[in-house]
Amino acid sequence: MSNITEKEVFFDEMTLNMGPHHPSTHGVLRFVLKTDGEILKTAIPDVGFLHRSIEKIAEGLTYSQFFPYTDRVDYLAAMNANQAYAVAVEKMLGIEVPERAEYIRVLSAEMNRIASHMVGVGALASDLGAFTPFLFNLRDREYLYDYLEEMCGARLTYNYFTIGGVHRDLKTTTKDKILKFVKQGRKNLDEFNRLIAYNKIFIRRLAGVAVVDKETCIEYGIVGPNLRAAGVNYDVRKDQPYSIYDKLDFKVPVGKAFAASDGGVLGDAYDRFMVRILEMEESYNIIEQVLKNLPEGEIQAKVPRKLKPPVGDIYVPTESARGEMGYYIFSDGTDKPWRLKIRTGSFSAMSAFEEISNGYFIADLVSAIGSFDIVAPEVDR
Amino acid sequence: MSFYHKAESNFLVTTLDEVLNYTRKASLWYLFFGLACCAIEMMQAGGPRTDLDRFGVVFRATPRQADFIFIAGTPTIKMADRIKRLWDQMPDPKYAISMGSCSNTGGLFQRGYSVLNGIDKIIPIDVYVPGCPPRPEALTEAILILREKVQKEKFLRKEETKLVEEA
Amino acid sequence: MKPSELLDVIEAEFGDFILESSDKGFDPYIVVEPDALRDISFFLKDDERMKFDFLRTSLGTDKIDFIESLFVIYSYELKHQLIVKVELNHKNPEVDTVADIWKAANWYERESYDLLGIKYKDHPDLRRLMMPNDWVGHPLLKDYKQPKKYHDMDLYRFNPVLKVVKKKAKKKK
Repeated sequence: MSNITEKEVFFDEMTLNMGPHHPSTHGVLRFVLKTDGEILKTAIPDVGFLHRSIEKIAEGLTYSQFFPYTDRVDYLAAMNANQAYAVAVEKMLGIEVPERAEYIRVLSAEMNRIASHMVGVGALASDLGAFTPFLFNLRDREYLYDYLEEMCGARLTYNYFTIGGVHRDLKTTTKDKILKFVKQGRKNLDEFNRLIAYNKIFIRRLAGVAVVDKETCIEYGIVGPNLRAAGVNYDVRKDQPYSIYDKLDFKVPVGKAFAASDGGVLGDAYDRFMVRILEMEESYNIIEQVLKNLPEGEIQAKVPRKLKPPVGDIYVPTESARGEMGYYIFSDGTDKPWRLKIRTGSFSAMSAFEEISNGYFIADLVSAIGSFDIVAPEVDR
Repeated sequence: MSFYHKAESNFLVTTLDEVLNYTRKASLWYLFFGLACCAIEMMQAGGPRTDLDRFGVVFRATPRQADFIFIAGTPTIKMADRIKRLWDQMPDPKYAISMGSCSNTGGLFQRGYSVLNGIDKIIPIDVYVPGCPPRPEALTEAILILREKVQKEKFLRKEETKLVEEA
Repeated sequence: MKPSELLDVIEAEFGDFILESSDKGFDPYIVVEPDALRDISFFLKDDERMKFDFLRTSLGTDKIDFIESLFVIYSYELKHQLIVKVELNHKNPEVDTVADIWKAANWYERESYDLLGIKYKDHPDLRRLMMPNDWVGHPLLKDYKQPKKYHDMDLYRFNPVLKVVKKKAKKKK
């Protein structure tokens, strides 16, 4: 046996491709992995497989014709995306929305936030092998789709908001059904928690994985539940409130190392998971408050036919399910926007991957992608 | 009986053909290829209320084990090369269903500079499903139509040739 | 701080390099000379009265006489927002990068280079982000023309509805 010392045997770097078609990346995302055995040196993302040129299409349409495209930017939380655009254009034009319309807007946005978090949390669980809780969440989402379909007629891409209100009213039968669903939904969330969130095996799988600390989050511009899990108490609904959020009473959950007894640290994957589950509970509270105080009145303000905002530019942020969704609009006085840009939360989360993925196992990369809750059309638009 | 030498139509071959087609249509497996919003409706169609599993249809993650492909979502120019490569990797006999208006003709994003107007520019499609996104009931109808198509295929028999009239 | 106080402090420090500033519109903004961009950015991030630590977004606009590159910044502690703009010419649009001051600007500047052609000096990794690597042209400019073929794929589809609409418009005239 010849003497082979460690210095003579050298390790090469292996380049792998985690391609655009992969069962565990949520949507079409591509990573080029540079690994040293099983441990990653870096994971370089490659995006643009779903770039549908929405910003160029917007320069040829009027302001009210653009609403269907805002649904498709974030299809899991389409009502929040609609609301972001409506709030931006109404601030530019100085239109005041009637009160009943504001309450209905908040109701549909919070229902859609619950549906989006159900997919985010369930997909993370199913990537790690637990398929049953994901199917429980799909069953609950069917009920939410039924009520949203009674309100506006579509299941996934709603196009419900208009500039100045909503375009269809809420019936009393739907209101009673939603109140009954909230009670059942809380029990289902409790059952989900007992199955997955307080389960020792699941906690050990996620504790201490993919830690992103506070300074890195602020530097890379990461927003939303990912930022709150790192300890920063920032929510656009409380800091720069829009619509009626300053009249409602709700808490903002902030991460605090929920898995500390099993080796967890502040800002790991389990914190991001728990922040989303606590946000779902707060959304149930908001829905109950809105439905109990719903006023009577009109649902659409009087708006001129051709909308011509004054010359200038504006940036308006709102809080959607994945973080801050902001619209930058520059108008030149005509009825079509000159330049429109959509700022989304998943874009910033993707841009941070190259630096933070040093030292993971490849199996941990899957749980890291799932815990950031990245959706492909938000990155590419 | 070898599949390369097809036989003339007689009673035995026709019955064998029908039995073979029945077993093939009752267990079609599809490749999970969701690009955009239609992928969520495909996921819900496999969920508890509209259960695609009762038709024998389950999803597979690799193209080597799949019978047909569901193209669900907008095909962009950057992604079109990869779709063609996946289609070439699937073994015969294979089918394709185009779901939603974005993959039928380009849909809402026709005016964009980076969208391929319709997926039938690169692969041959059997069933087109309209909608944006189509309901799970529409997907079930598409699978039933595909099953009818599979039932009528002449697997063991020769194709009938028609006489061309002299002009 | 209120927008007018913010603009007073910035003009007191860098009065020569600021071409235009205003808080009468929807958001307060300043237009800066391209050479002084990095000094002003360091001041905006580190000074005790400013403390802008969150770069919200960075983009480019094609106004026909010039190309404009701008970014929007916000402060978590002091809760104020500012837009910083730079004007460049069409033939040679080059400007300094701010990707080492705020790391979030890295991918936003790559997107502006891809879609508008703005070149950022000393950027760590300037290549295309959204379009394929061998694409020719910058799509978001106002005078961009779509190519007819790419990699043996035909990029045109006949639309029968559009033909009827054009015929009716011709008949009305």
